[in-house]
Amino acid sequence: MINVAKNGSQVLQVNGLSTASLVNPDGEGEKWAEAQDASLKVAGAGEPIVILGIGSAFHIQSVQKKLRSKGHRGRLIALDCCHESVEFANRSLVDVELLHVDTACGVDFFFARHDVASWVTQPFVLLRHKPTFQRSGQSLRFVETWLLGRTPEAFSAQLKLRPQIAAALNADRSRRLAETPLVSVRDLSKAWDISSELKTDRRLFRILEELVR
Amino acid sequence: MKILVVNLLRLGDVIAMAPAMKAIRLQNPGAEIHLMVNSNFSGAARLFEGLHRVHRFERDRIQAACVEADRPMFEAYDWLQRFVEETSDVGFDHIYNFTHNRLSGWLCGLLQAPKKTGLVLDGSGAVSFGSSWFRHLNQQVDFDDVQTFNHTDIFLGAVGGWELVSKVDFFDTLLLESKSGRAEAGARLSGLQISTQKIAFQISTSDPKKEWGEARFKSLAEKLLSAHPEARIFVTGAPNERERIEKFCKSCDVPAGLIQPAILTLPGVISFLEEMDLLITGDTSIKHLGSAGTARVIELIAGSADAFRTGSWKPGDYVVASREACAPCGHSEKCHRDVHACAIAISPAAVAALASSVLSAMQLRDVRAAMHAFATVQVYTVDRSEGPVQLVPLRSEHITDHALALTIERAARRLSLEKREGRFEKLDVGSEMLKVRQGLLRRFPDARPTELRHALADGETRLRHAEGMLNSLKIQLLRLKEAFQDPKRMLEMVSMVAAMRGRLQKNPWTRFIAEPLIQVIEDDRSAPFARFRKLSDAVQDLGIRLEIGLKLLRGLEIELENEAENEIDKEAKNTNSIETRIKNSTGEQA
Repeated sequence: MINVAKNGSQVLQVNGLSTASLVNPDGEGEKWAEAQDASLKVAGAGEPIVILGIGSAFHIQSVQKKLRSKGHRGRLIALDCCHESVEFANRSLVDVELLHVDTACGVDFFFARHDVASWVTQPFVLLRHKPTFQRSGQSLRFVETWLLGRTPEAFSAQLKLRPQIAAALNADRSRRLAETPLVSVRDLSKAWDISSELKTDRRLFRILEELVR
Repeated sequence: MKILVVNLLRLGDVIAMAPAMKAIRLQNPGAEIHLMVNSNFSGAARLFEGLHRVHRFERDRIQAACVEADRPMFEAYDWLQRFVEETSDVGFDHIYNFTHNRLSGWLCGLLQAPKKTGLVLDGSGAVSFGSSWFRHLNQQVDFDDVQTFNHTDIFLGAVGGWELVSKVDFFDTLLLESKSGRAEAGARLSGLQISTQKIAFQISTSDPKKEWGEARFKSLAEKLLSAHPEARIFVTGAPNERERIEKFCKSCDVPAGLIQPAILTLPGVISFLEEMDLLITGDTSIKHLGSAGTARVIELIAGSADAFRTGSWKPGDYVVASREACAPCGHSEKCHRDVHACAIAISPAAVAALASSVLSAMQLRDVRAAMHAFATVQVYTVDRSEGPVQLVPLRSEHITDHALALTIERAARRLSLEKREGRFEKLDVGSEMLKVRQGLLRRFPDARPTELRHALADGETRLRHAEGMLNSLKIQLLRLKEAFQDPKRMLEMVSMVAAMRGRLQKNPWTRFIAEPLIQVIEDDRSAPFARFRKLSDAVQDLGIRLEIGLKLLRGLEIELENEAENEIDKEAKNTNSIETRIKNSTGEQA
């Protein structure tokens, strides 16, 4: 269902809940975009920006405007588990990749999707639209967990996207990672196989280990 | 030719490599010079002439991505992998790593280039330095402060810059000024007469331990402006320090307008410092900007600031340090004292006296006299008579074996490092020796040539004795060559070396030549061939140092002998002239 906010903008309603402000949804979206400055600052000019939570997409439009003014050339990708949000946003957004995620299909299916695999192994900036998170229950949290790749299940799924790293880990030591609540660079430092010391990926992680020393 | 210079340290360390950057540019005209720095300090790249491109290392980003649970686990890895690939794709011919830490070592190990100078770690963690100077940087961690080279000079040595230093006015124009910087500085100083003495204070540092303290700076400001009422003080700082600096200026008990904030961007502060007569600062990037520019610098050493390794490096500048036994402390150590003793010991009165001397363009001996009363501080002048920075105590030193040996050994060490790099033959040993003579004059201004010559002759005797020991060591090494697989023979040799090292280390004249023997250890578990190799290298290095040390000493002794003879001639002439005048005046009276 679509409502009209006081400022005249159309706002999507899902399951009786508004997905944006009914007073000034554009202003609300701009405010959220301003709050993402610190996260957006680190993004390289060509890096994908991934927004979790589409809602009525006002916040996505605001971030898009901000990124364009800074000369950002990378992809802007938005994910949601709500069909209605994706369809609604499709009507108003241009040059934004809108992905509907069905969490019932599982993490491996999610990463096997072409429209996910094409960016998830690059450095990307992850933004979360908290109001949408609060409305969506657990589903967006699952997607967040998958993208963060820190739970044992999500880490394991992300490793499948990076077979060269998986091949360099010691099978026994890697099993211990499954017992860790959240995997970190420090945890990973104990899981490498001795034979992989000369490999590029191991050496890249040596650099990261120096940073967390 | 494509050259990459890597410096992933802080802004001050990036600026401190300015002489090395200039040397690289002069030695490689037409080369594409790239710079890799932390993205926070990428603005510093504008300061170096002739840079083709800056590669920004996003240290803060990848560090946050490693430690923050709400960042993707592989964000840092993905970024780093791409960064290494893109950087390697440039196709560098030579990489210089001025960072000298493990992170940069691993990184440079991954970057592709046929030649690498500086710390590089291969996949197994094996270290290479690509230069005797960088190997030395690693070793001098364990040296006494007074023995060490300033890092600026090590970088210069590593790029082969010492040949250039004597040929051109090398230390002029190390950093670029920009139009916008000049405009910014001009705007800040508008309305001031050219004749007004301008003093810059840098009151903040990156680490509170290194700060001298606002209260002391306040007292200094009041004393200076009382002694120099026409002067103006500017308190420099970055835009994010505005509030603190404005508060500080308001709190000073001086007439309005005499002390003002100078909040400037990096290009602005470079041009601003060019207009200053004096900069008084702690260990900060501003100190390095001052060293690279024309303003005289007084550096105040507190906390973990290390005057000898990373202190001011422009000749004529001053370094003021306390005599506290705990200074310098470690970077990450908390101060264990109840009070900030190393800062308190540097009194505002002492700094004011020194600053007044500089502003009044006093001669060094008058500065010495002015500072004589301040016993709790050690004041050094920055001297480059020999080339590398030497911090020469302001108070005249008496000639001791230790002090004299230190001067000679630093020169010999520099020349032996150049010899290892294959550059010694290009050096004019005669002029190097004269530079050492200049250094001795600065350090011992009251010493007579005869006195110095006798002390050096003692040193030569010690080195000749060490030469004898070396010759017998060489014979033993030759015998060991046929039998290094025999653990007993190897152990005997190592024990002999250890004994020789112990004897050499007891005397200041032979201590420095013993340094290569430090790496020969009894419980070394390397393979026999590797141990033999280490022994041979150590003995060869020892031989080089001895050879150079003796050459220098001999040359200096001859020079001092000539000076002594000239002195005697001069005295004789003076005596004759006095006698003639007396005779003449007696004759007239008669």
